[in-house]
Amino acid sequence: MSAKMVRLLGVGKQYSNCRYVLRNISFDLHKGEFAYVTGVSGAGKTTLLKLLFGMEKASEGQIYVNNRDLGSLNKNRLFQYRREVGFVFQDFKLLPDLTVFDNVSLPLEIRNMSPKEIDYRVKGVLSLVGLSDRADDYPPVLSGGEQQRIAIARSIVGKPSLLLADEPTGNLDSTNAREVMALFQEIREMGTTVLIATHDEALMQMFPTRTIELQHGEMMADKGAAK
Amino acid sequence: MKKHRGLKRTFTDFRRHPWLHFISIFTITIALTILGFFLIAFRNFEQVAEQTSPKVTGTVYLQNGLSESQVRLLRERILALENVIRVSFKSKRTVMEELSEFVGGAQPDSIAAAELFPDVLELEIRKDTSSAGLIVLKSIVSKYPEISEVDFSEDWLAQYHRVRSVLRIFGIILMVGLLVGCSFIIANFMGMRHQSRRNEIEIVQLVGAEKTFILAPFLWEGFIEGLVGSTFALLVLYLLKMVISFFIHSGWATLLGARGWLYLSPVQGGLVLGVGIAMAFLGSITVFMRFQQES
Repeated sequence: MSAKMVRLLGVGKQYSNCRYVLRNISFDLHKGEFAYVTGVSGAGKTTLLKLLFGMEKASEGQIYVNNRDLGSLNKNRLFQYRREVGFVFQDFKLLPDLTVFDNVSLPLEIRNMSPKEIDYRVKGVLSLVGLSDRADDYPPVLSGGEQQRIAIARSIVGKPSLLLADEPTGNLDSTNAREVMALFQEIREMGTTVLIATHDEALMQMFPTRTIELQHGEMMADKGAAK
Repeated sequence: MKKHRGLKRTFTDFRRHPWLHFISIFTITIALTILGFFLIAFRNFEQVAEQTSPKVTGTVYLQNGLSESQVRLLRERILALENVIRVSFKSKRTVMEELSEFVGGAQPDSIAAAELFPDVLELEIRKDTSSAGLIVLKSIVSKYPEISEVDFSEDWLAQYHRVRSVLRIFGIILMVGLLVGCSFIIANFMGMRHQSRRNEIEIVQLVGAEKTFILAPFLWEGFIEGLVGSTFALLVLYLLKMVISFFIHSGWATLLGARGWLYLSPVQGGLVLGVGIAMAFLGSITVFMRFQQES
């Protein structure tokens, strides 16, 4: 069995109004594993991803990513952690005033890489997502599917060990959604652990893999987990 | 390397949002032009006050029967006193002639009480002598035995100084108020502008940028806009100064003196430049810090 990339032990999240959005969540994800987190809206999928990305702190339990305890991660060290984890947002979070190339190169710019290295890596991921010819365009002129692929390109350009995606196909038509899912499979094949939050049953059937099911913030099932 | 990237991102942003930066610079220019115009007005008011300030004089009435050498020695002693610029002698004859001219040309000998006038020494005193300084001078001079009476214009001079210092204090208070107001406008405008870029900051944070990476372009923007805005303000003020000089030169020539309508002094110019840069700079930092606390 490969090493653990993600480990959640009795994780809970409670907001100030005392309502639990997540309660007693425990599971492991191995390096290079591909999994879905599923459940209806409000089940706690997005909160779970936010906890894994360090955007929120767990109220209970422990979260380890690559043997790093996220509970002990202070604000000043968060930026380093985020460089190791990619996140694909449902609303893409692209900067409309930057070109596709500049949006994708942002994670490399902040690492202070040389322009040559940035050029090489950005062209590489743009080729992977099939948008090499749109490098000089601006996000608003791209279709939803293209924007999502740019967001994916940005999230993997820094070669993260873990990729989180929150409803990555939520704003896409079925053709684009299939293409994006195929892209995630490719990324997983390159060795990246991928965890996708989705409630799209059809897609999950098309690309079957391990599925963690949430309901009212509690883990109801973990189908297809490695024993 | 990092610094250059911050600067590069700043210039990229200037190209991306030319109107936003134009409005920022325009706001800074307007605020500082108002401040600078007041500083110019204050400086010129001071000059006019200086130009029109009264000559401080004193009249010293001498005892009768003093010899020329006694008068000369007395003049030298008085001239050596602090704040005295010039001492001139007027004989009783000169005084009578002046009086005769004043009353309509009557012959000095025909004035009945002509012999009652004493010889006098007229003292010219430094303009900036304080009222206390005048009182001290008067008390020293009046103790000399060769002198019978001393008459200084200290009372109304004290009044004049009092009015002038009240006006000066009022001007300084107004200037400080204006300075605070301008700083507030600039810092708040920079704040509002950066609020509009929250989305950008958030995204850059999410991809793992550290504080310095996020802050660098904001600081450069603040510095550049402050510098350009205050430089424009100085240019506008110079043009205003030229226009004002052109229109009021002949009418106010006497009041303004040989130097005419003045521009900002180097210190005032530095203040305008400094306020522009510092406020735009601080505005950037404050907003960034506020955003950091919220996120």
